[in-house]
Amino acid sequence: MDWSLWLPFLHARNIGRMNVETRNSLEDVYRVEAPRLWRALVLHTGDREAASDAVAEAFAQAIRRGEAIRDPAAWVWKTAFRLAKGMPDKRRTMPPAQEVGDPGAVSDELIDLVRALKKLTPHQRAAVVLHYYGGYSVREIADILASTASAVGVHLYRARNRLRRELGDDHDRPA
Amino acid sequence: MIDLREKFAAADELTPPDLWGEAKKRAANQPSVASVPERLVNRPRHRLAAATVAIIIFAAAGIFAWNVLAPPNEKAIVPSPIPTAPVRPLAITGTLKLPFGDFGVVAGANSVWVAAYGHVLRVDPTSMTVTASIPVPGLSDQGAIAIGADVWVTDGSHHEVVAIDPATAQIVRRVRVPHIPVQVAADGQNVWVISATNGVGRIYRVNGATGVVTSRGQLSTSPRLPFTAGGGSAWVAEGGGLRRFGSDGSTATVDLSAGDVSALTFGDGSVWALASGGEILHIDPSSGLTIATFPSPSGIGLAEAAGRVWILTDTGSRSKTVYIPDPRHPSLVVSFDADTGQPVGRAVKVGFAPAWIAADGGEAWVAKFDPERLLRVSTA
Repeated sequence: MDWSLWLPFLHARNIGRMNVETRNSLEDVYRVEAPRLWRALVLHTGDREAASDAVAEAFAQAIRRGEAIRDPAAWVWKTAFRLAKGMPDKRRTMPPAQEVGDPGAVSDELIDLVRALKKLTPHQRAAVVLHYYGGYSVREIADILASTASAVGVHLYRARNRLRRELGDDHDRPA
Repeated sequence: MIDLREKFAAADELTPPDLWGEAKKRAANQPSVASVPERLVNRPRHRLAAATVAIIIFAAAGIFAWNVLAPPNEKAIVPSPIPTAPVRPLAITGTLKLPFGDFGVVAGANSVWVAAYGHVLRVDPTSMTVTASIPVPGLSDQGAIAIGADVWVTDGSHHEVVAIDPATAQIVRRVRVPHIPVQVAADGQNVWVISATNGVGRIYRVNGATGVVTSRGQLSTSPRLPFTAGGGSAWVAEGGGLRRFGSDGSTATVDLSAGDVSALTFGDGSVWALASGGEILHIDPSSGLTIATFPSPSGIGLAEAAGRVWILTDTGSRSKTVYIPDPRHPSLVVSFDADTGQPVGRAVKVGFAPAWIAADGGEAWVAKFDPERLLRVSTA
């Protein structure tokens, strides 16, 4: 495996573990985490505005809490996903290209992915996005989604099978 | 084979907006969360109230420690190694293909009850057929099921718990609870509900007969903890111990030396905990004392009925981070004598992706999610 591909992610996680004492260092966390968090939320909600709202509100709450947060990166991911859970789901009325970006400005691969994600339940979608895009482990996802590791395992297993069927592959089932 | 991580990398083409300014603006428009309790405590009358509460807590903790934790005379009993019952093989004696994706099973009132997407299924335990399908539209895979005087399920999307009369298989009550109910446990007419919030879980006691929320409490962490109810209390596994929420609104903590608890159940008047290291704890619900411990495999499910403890073990995974069932390590069901801790049922393989177990009489039922099946396990 080429571990260099993981370096940006590892760097981001290490920054998240630093004890943030000032707003400036929280801004550092924002610069590292927010782009990936925002894209993960776009995949999860299918709505750029909802993703922006959740990210802005999560960081606003983090600023208000200040030093009370030990791990700001983990905290904003958890808070943003929980905020997004309470937002209305616009997926049923919006075509995929409009959901994630300007028509014609996004690739077919991304449109296919969003279309496949629409067919998952919200919990399956959150789990698979956090795992395959956010890079989180099953235990970390359980913490973010206020669930158990075994429940997240169930969601990931079902989601992965469904995604592979939707995206044209069905070869990973147990014998 | 498709590499899903590569597929998800397509999202990197999206350009996020800069929201830091918006976040700072929102933060400036509301007071600092950290400063609120500080201001309150600095007021004299709140200082007095805080001091009073602290005295009450210390007194309650002292009384609890004196009554529950101090008398170490009743030492944990390790059962003798002499078997008192013959070990007989267990077997799958019935299989039912479920019409909907399932996520919970309980047994009682002469039936087996399965929580499934949008439905509660009543299954005849003898013929293994669905005898009723009760629509509960908001029932999703974050839901839970319990049985007391009625069958209860959580409906998180409507912030409700729903009661089903086991005799008529009709919905008889819907009770609104705060936040998002994700777990439920029942003890006769006492119904306990754990709700997920943006922070720690909250626990509510509902009078099952009237539907009135009669007490409330707060967990120290996630709402998805091993949870059961019985003996007039609810029991939650938290941080290497148990927390008991009494029907009178009291709470108490029971320290366990066995470490984290992976499953919890109530049966035959006792609390049963499965320690994640592989040990069954038999706990007296009135004193919180561990009456007996006996070795067992570690597992994900625990049930107790008619003097038998049933354990469902996890399926092995080919990956440490993602659940990819390992064909070499299917899940097992094993059974122990509740009094002696001796195995009474030789392990039976129940395949891949089982997640829930319930017991009634001398049988157990295992619900699997891929494919959706209900299995009956009995002594062969």
